[in-house]
Amino acid sequence: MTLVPGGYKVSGNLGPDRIKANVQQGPNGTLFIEGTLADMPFSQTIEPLPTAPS
Amino acid sequence: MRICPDRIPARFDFAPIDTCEEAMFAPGADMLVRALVGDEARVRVRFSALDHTLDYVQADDRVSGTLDGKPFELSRTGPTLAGETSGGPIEVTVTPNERGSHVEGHAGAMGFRHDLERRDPVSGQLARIRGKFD
Repeated sequence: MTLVPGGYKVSGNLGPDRIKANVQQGPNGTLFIEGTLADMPFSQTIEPLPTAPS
Repeated sequence: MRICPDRIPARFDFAPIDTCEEAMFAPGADMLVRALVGDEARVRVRFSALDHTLDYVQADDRVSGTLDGKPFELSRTGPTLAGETSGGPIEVTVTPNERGSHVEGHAGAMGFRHDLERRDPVSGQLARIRGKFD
């Protein structure tokens, strides 16, 4: 996927806790996510893997 | 019904997964991966919060990795992803719908029902998550 400049936001609730995340994309397609669940900060990366040979 | 505390504890454990904060780590319940790249994408995911880490590869109908250094492996059969983790068994069924998808299952001792609603990317808001634990 390709993100718009400035990235995307994902938000919502898990149980009574608010979840908010900001998503940025690196030059190799890796997504970098910083967010909070209630007052717990978290970070996440999602790195694309090469397509498996068919 | 289990209720999330008002404040996230400074520490929690995964033996077993029995709070919603712990279930947030459950790979099958990782709504951010589902929202951003989908269940079929071949990706490596690293998730960290407090002093906990989740590191896994999602590819070819399998999800395998480590939760706080302890290995786990899940496999997908149709819409259901299931397997064992150090915090207990995980089973997640994803049902696509007109808004996005409905996700239901359990992680360790926690049951959950989540809905992922896709939004217009032009708005900068990619998706909205609504979830309940019990």
